[in-house]
Amino acid sequence: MAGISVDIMAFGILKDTLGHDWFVWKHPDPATVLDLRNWLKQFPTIHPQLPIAVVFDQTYQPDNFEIKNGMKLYLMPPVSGG
Amino acid sequence: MSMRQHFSISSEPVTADVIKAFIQEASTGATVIFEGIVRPDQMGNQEQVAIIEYEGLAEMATKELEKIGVQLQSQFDIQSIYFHHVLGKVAVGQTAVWVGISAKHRKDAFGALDVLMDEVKKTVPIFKKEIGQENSTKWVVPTLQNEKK
Repeated sequence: MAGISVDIMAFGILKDTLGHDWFVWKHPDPATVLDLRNWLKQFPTIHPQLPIAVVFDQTYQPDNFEIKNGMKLYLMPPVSGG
Repeated sequence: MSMRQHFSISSEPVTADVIKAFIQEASTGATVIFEGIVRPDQMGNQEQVAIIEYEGLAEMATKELEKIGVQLQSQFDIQSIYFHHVLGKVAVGQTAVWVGISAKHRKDAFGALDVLMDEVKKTVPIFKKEIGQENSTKWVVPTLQNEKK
């Protein structure tokens, strides 16, 4: 089964807890936002109660959004501007 | 009547004069200009905040602000909105966010300002990190701590 590879940029506290801002995520095809969220659970440095938003094309995406090869995604903790 | 609006996010500050020139028109009865200023709060380790560093996804932030603008136009009778948020380091006492709103009546101007700032804190992708006087750092994560408003 072919896999997918996507570029992901993390913001805020996620950048520190993941150890880098940009990284490449590989997953068997097909993949969804929920798969990405589940993959993030392996990191003990990420607080289990931290809500994480997944953004593609400048839009917050739901759990069932299908992630396709070559996409550029953004991982965001709760916003804190203002 | 169409509402005039300006949403920007950059490393450069703006001035109240620029905002006032944008929002005020002949039929305006009320203008509200708000500046959000960095406070010298205590960090978790009792160190005092010296600087807040903001980062964000500017293009998406502008898109989210435009959605908020549509919401405000449906809720309030306002004439114009000017919103600017700084990205980068902002020292205690300096302004990080500017908002100007004009309306015929003060209740619409104040009400729209309040809703705008509440919505900014829900959806606009801007993130802040506190930097203390001794250079320790802490990301502000509203859901994991009780942020003072």
